Amino acid sequence: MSGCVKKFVCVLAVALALPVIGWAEAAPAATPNLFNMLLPATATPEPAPAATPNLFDMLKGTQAPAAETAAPGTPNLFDMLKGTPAPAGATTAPPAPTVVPTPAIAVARDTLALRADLPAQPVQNGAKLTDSDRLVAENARVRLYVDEAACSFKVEDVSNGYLFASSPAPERLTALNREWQNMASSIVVAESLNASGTASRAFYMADNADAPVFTYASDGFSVALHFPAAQVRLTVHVSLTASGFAISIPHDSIIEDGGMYLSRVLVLPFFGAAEGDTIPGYTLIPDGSGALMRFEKPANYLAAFTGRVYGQDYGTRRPSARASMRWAGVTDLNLPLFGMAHGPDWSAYLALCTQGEAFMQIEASPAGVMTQFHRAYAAFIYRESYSQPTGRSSASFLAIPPRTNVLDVTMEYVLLSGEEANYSGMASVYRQRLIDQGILAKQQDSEVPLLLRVLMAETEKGVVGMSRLVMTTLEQAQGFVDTLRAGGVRRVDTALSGYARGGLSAQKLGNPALDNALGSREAFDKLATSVSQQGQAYLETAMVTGFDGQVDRAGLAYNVDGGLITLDMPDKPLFTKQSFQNLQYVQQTLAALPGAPIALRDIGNQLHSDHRENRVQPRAAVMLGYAEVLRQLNDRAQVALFTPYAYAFGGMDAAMEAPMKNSQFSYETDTVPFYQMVLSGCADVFTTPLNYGSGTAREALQLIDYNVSPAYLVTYKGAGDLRMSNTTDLYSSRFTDWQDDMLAVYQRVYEPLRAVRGASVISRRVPLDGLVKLGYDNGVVLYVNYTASPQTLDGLTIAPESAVLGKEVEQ
Amino acid sequence: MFKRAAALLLALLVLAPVSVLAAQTASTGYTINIGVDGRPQLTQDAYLPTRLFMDLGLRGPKDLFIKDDILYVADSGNGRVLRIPLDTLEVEIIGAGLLRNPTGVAADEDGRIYVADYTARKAYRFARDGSLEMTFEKPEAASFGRNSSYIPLKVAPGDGGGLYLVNEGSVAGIVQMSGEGDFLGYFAANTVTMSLSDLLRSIFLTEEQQRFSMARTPPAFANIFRGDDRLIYTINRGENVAIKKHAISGANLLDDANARILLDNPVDLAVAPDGRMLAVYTDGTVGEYTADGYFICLFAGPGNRTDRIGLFDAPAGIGVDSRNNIYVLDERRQAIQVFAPTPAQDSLYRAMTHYNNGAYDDSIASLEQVVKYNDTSYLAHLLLGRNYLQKNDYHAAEKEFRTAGDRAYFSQAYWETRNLWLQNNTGWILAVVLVVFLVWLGLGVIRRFRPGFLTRKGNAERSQPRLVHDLLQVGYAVRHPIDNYYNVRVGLTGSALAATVLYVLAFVLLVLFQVARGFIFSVDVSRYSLFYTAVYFFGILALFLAGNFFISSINDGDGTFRQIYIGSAYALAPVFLILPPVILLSNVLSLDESFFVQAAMVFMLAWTLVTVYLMVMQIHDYSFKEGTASLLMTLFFMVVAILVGSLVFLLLKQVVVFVQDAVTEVVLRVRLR
Repeated sequence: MSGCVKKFVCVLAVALALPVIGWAEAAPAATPNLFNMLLPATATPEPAPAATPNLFDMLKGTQAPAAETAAPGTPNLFDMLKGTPAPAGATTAPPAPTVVPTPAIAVARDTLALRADLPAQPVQNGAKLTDSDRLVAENARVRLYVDEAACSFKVEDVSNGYLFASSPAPERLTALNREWQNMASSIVVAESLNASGTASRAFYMADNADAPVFTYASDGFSVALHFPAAQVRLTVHVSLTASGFAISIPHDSIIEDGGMYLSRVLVLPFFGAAEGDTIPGYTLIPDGSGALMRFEKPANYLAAFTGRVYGQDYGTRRPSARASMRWAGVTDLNLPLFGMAHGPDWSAYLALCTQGEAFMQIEASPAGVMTQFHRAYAAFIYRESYSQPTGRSSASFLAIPPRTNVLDVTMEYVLLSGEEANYSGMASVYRQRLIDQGILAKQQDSEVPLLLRVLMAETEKGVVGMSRLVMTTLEQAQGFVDTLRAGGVRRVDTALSGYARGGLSAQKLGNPALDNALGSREAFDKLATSVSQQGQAYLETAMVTGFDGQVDRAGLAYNVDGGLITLDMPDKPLFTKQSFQNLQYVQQTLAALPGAPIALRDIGNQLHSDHRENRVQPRAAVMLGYAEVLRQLNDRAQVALFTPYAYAFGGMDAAMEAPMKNSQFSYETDTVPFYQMVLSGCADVFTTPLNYGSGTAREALQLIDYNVSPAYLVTYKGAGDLRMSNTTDLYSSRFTDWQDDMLAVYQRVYEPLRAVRGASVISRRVPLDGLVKLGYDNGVVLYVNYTASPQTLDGLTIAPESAVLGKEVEQ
Repeated sequence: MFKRAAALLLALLVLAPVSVLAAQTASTGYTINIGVDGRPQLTQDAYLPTRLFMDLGLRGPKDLFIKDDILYVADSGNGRVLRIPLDTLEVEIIGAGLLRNPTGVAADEDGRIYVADYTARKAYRFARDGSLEMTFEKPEAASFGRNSSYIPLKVAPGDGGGLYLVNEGSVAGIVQMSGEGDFLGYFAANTVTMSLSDLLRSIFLTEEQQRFSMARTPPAFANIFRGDDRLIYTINRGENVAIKKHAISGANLLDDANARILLDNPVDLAVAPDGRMLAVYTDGTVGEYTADGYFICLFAGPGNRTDRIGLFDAPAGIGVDSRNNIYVLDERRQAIQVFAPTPAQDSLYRAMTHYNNGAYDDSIASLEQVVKYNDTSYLAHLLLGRNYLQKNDYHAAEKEFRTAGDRAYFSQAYWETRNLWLQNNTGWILAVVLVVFLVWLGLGVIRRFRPGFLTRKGNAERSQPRLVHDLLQVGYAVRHPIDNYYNVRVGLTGSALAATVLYVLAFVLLVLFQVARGFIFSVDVSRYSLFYTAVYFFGILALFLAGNFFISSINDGDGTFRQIYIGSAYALAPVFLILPPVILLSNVLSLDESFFVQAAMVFMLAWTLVTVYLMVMQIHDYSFKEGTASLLMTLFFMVVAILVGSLVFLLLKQVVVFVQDAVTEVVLRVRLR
């Protein structure tokens, strides 16, 4: 009996003691995560009690916040636009399913390879004048016709007589339902929210609308429109410019006279719309590096393209932290423009936003989504409903912001014809405009740089507390530079990050002081001096976003819901929340910087409004503030910006991490370097770090094609050392692993890029599949053959996967 | 390996959606592999979406199959199968007019095509030229089951024109049929796994209740594939399933594969000619595994109803061609996406092929390319280590396995290096042993003439400070525990200070036990938390002391809290005796000898229990029975205290959240209206 009890006691005690002695094997406490422990059971799915883990669950993360689904059952315009299925009763009818016959030969779209350009040809079946069109204004380049009854207009390019219409001919719209017919016939559409946040569209041709009132001037007309469903009135001005026309909606003209809230205005939703493949051509959208959407037969697409110019505004829409870390986010719209080419090389327009771009969206739809038309237009945001959380639990309600965005809208449509009527022409027009405005300036001739970004130090988790992890010392960085120089790199630019006390994730934003654990001040001066003989020695830092220890708590920006703007990164080992600084703080910090070269990671690509009570800074004000402070900084220092949006172009000398791809929607038929073409000859443009790329030959060729210089992000120690720091996304950073590649890539791109330093691209053509021909304004012609076989063009044979330099043959 | 699995479970997510520095991809989805720390990590693109077949006129296609570089698509909505050789891309239509809703398609090495027709409830075999050869009707055989349904869903070729069918709604296994349509039997039936709660229910519930409450049906098959190795691969439906590779007997050859990652709702699988396994999941993710079940990477992902290439909304089938291109069929987009491997991924394949062919140097050269692209890949370092192991370069292997964090393989390599060391140093070792023995002999001889030579006897009389005395009494506690506790009780031995020092010492030993036992036995220091170890150790200690004091106070125990405090410290005596040598020994043991460590630990725990028990009896002057009861009640107290503590904590938290929410909501409603 007693033995039995003893045994039982033994067993019990062992069971109790085991966790103490051997708990490390049973792991749960080894890296205890209080956050997870405290989550309610519904928030994290219980991991299955299997011995083998499920990677899938680990990666799935939790769902995106429920904010956007806050009004179930009601048609939510935002969701519809995003492409989530519209709930029953939505205002739009689904299009008839597209029937595609089975071909005898399966044709694949090569999504990475380059497709040859369409042959240049006159377009015959464009818009036609009708009896009701009346000429109301004209100049040397453009004629403007108005059809008052239909409330539509057409513009004629005098140089070739081609017409662009604000709406397709009515007989082409018969296949559409009433709503889409209205949409296609409108020059402006209003969208509004009701008190519960439900969005709906309103049209001025509704039965109960007051008739449009036209007023004419010497250079155009204005029309006062009434949108009864939105209870909004506004006036649209259309006036000719030297090379096209401008359409504007002054904020003063907008009258909201009811219980509805104006949320968006769509401008010229069907201007130049092309039906199926009846007109050859394409839409250009500034998605990432740039994308073309060729006019093809209607195909089976799920949703249209929609994107906000200059990225999301975290001040009005919270970033959804870990919605999905597995798919790369869409690339941003870096430029406030889009374009459409009919022909191509026949007629085209470039639509430029000159006012209101901080609130601009671009929507572009291929044929097959809702209608059989390819179309592109700008939409402007006046109010966005948002999810107002009501405490720490996930409860929230849908709220409408008390204030409307104050913006005058002006879109300028520039007509292009002939050789210019393509995206190269659009890029040239836009670049010239920025040069004329003093925002861009032609660059001096200089050596081809290789950018070496070096991570110096980081903070890591130790057994007790945190400790400094030096990844590269100044001396080692000097060694990198010397190695590259000795290997034949003519100009090395360096950008040191994590250089101040605390390292990358813990140093104060904008702190220019070096951590002396990296080496002496003399070592830094020596590095800076040796680099700046030909290149630039940047210090690289974030300025707007930072982890807890990095930001100044007095200068944080607020979301419209009253809370701080934050970005949760619950999976980072050390710091799990990023906060955002407000405009005032950024201005002060930048103003205090010395005149040394500086590379700013976020200010050029992070634009958020700030909603602190009594000190609201709308997105437009923040944008102008950033542009101004960058310009001032640039007056006294060399400035490099990361993936800069157009508003920051005036305050920089170099663009780092230029987008090398777009969002890769299947209707984006061609990836083009539109962004790089705009900047070509006006700034040093660097690629995303090549040592995290896919290592294909295509990457090096792209450097030449896109006219960007190579960049690497390296450390002295191996990336494995960073695993207990917040920088978990470097996996291949050891300099010695990559030095041979750097030299090889530099060798490969040097000659062609040297020939076009300081020059701007004036034409980019793809005469054959996978073969690019670039024309520069200094007369240099470059051929880049992406294919694995030799190609012959203009009497030249271009070897596989290589680039050849040629001088333009005099015509 | 268990540690690795547990660590993975813990890892949940290490990656954030927004990169601070470098995360980038030329694709639309990031590629993820397992890092040397055992966690999922971002890595360079393994595949890039290169081509997209959008214009095939498909309607609701349900399956895709590739064999000998011929692509087959079950174009279900159009009631036909498309056969597309990948070199010419000529589209050939098969079974039009006959097929009603083909949901599965496969082909054999002779080019014969097998189709499962869900609606027609038949399976078909077509000749290479597309003519119908054989219709597989519902088997008449009694062994099939007269009442069993026959709904062919997915198909794989059998031998001699026969086939394997995934039969919708059948739980008996894969239906195997001969080339003549005869039922050959069920293959590889899934079994019902019994969880602990199932077991308990089966004990306590009546048969009636069990029928009602316990699902006894095994999981259903989701898909089937026959590899070039002629083996059958299957996946089940549902969450946490693994790819199974069946021997002729139906047994799963991958059952004990290490480092396996389970899949959630896989839709289809394919096996590359070199044995790599691929699976696509409902959400659009594609997972790739080595032939022996190791995880290579995840890529692609959910399309979220956008048209981004390389992401999927309703993936239905996957296939791989001879150039390692991966084809994924999307039912909703009615399109086929092609992925091509990047140079780094190609290097990995080459390395695996070289390894299998015994070309270890070539394999190592390829792997060094892989490592250049991703220094922290578990798989790359593991494969490097295995190569070195095969080359008998044990030191290099040891280094790689240590980098990979793979203790089992490290132990293998370590055993070899230790063996070599022992062989090389046998002379020295024997010499040292001999010298020690001689010295011992010599001492004995000397002491015979000069008693007390070099012993501590001479110092014994010197008086010691109390603290030192108390600490040294641990030795006495080991030999004479009962006497020692008596001394404690009467105040001859022990002080609060000494006990505290002992507790701290025990804690230090515990920490060393966890972090200083050599690579094979220690926990990963980088994710070790001293703080939580301290909380656990001192928390449990405090609970025990308090519990024992309270329990004994109401049970006529004589001991004061001070006595319990001091006595418990001495009860840890076995820990001081056994842990240090175990820690030292663990540094030179391989996993094969881990038995010694475990045995020592069990012995230590048992001994400690005995000393604790003796302590309770002595300090409180309990009889055997009282002591037992007191200890059990102390344990009960500890459990209850933990439960109550957590309950109170949770309730308080709820209250705080509720009040906060209510106040915020009121304030907001007022502000916004």
